[in-house]
Amino acid sequence: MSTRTLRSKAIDPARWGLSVKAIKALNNEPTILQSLAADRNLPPLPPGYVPKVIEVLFDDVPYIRTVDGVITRLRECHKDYKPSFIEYRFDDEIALFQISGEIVINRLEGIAQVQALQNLLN
Amino acid sequence: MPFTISPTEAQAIQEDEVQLLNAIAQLAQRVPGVFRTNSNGSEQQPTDSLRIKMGRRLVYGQLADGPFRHELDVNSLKVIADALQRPVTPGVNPEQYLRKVPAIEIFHGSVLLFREERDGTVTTNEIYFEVKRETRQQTENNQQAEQPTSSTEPAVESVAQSEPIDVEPIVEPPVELESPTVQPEVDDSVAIARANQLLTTAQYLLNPLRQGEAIYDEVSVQGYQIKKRDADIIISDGESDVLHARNGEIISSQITDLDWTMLGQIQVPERLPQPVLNDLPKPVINETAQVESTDSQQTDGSTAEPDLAAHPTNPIEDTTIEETERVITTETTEGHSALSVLERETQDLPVSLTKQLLQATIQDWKQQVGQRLSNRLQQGVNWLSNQQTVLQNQRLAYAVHQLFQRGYERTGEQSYHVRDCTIKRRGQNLYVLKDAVGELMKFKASKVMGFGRRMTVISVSDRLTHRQRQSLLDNQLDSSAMPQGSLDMEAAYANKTQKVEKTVRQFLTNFAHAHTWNRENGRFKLEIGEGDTLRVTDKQDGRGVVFERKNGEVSSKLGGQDFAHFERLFAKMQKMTARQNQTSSSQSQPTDKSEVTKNGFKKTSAVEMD
Repeated sequence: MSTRTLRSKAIDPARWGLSVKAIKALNNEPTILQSLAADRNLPPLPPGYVPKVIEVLFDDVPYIRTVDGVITRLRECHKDYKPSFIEYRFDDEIALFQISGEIVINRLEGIAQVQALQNLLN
Repeated sequence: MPFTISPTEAQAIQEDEVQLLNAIAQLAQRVPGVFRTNSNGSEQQPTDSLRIKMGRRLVYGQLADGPFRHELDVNSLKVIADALQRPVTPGVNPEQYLRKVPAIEIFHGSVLLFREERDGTVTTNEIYFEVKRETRQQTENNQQAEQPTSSTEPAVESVAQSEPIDVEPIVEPPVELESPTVQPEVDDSVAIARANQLLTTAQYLLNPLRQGEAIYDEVSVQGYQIKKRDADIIISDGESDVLHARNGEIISSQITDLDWTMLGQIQVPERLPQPVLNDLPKPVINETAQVESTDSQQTDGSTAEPDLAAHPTNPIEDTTIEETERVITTETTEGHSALSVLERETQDLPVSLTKQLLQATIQDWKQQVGQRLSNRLQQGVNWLSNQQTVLQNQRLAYAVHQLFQRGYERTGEQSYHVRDCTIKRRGQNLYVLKDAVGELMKFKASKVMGFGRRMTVISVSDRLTHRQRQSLLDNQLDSSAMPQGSLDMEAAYANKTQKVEKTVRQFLTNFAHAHTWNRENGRFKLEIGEGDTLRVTDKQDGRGVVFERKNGEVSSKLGGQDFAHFERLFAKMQKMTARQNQTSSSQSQPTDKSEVTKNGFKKTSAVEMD
């Protein structure tokens, strides 16, 4: 029996309001899908949080890393590269997960709101 | 001993899957434990035993449930080929990464050939190969040959092409800490300080702008949940409460060293911002402005941002600072970097504040990378190692800025002494660090949107020693270390703090008739203890203890607003005392004395603290 048929409805990405293309991309990676299902239940990150380490992963491989806002790692990639999915991790914790233009997990909304307000106040 | 290959072979490996897999299989034959295959007469190819994982994804090899996955593409080939040219990171302990998801893993059967961790550390590389360096003439010839197709690429790209842009080693606190077996006993004052600090952190994280209503009642960070329930704030680790506070008062605290390590390092300003009393405007999502800004910046890439490791012989005048912030690299500077890919993919996201935040962050990152090109003659591929210096300077600028703020909170001056250094502020946000000889560092505290840098380091002197750096960083960590202002101002400050101390003692002894005053929703908690001990704690601004006298030692971070507060209290007490005296003298009948006293007590206890 394949992994897909064993999957419970709770981790069925078809119920996450995503496009067929995004669902297909996730179904292709059961391990990642499983952890995303758990991560979707995480509360948002605190609005006042400034992470020490930010990592940006393309297709589950880190390409960009910053420490205290300074880039410490930047991987080169092919100019036509289009990652299937992108993940932002803050201090080794998921912050945002996107598939093309679709957001699967977003724990940054509060931070984004505060940053925008701060910008207005300044 | 690395295997050496020619640039032509390296190019082929990077572009051709068969070449890469064959090269790995061939190199694997040298590794002990790898079953030596003979392709002659055997149906199984040497490459059939290979398994390549990128993150949690198997991109090449047999899946657990049978099928063979074959998803190497032109990008992953390049990434793998680049990765294999990196030796094992010196001094690394692979066990530290045992339970972590790697970035890249390559197996031959069950033998691990290569493993790169997510933080860039290479923990295993049995198939390490080096590309023979080309002579300058060869490089030029190759560039000329490629001219028609790559004329827009900057020269440095060809140099940096095979160089992973990486700063190593990065010294960071470990994310997972082993529980120490022997720990010195943490005394009560440390435990109280930690509890207060974590409460401040929680308050700030939940509501950094101190709006009337926090955006969320529950958030999560680093595996800890922070909940707000009416007047209560609870931090828990998912199983049990770490801290419980009500109305800014700690009710219970079970902070372990691990909790402190995980939560104590989260950035919080020296003092929480003033509460936002008015309704804030709704943040505007301005997609058009963002795009226009990006476009204009991309065409305006001629101004170079200051070299963060620059020698002060070429200082940047204050008038040019605004100009330096407008630096953005042109598209051609990073045609192949992950930043271009990220920028493109972010553009596809739906319009939202999150998208704005990400775009602002990416712009800041692009500026940083832009320096590589603006300074390529001096730096070239040394940009990588210079990033380590950038990081150190950035951290020092944070520390110096925080120390200045600490002093400014007390005496409101523009210059402070810390050990043998002076920190001066010019204008609104330009800071200069000096010693007796002259300038050591100049930076600007910038207002960058996104997760970018908040400090723009303008110049750093070669004279700035490791000892001076460490001393400033140590002072930043020691919250009792107070930068000193001018002698006159310090003397005036000492007088004011003495007056506050006298007022507090008088209030607790003669009016509150208690050792502790801690009114619900009040701003300050006042305490008198054994001997000469006296403590004033700010419950609202997240500053914790703002004045303490203990065993003759005084520490204070009382500021202008505090002095005004206690002056009001002093005036109230004087008024009350005068009224009491007046009441006493007007009473002539001894039988009324008890009532007078009772009334008097009622009146004195009515002296209110804000």
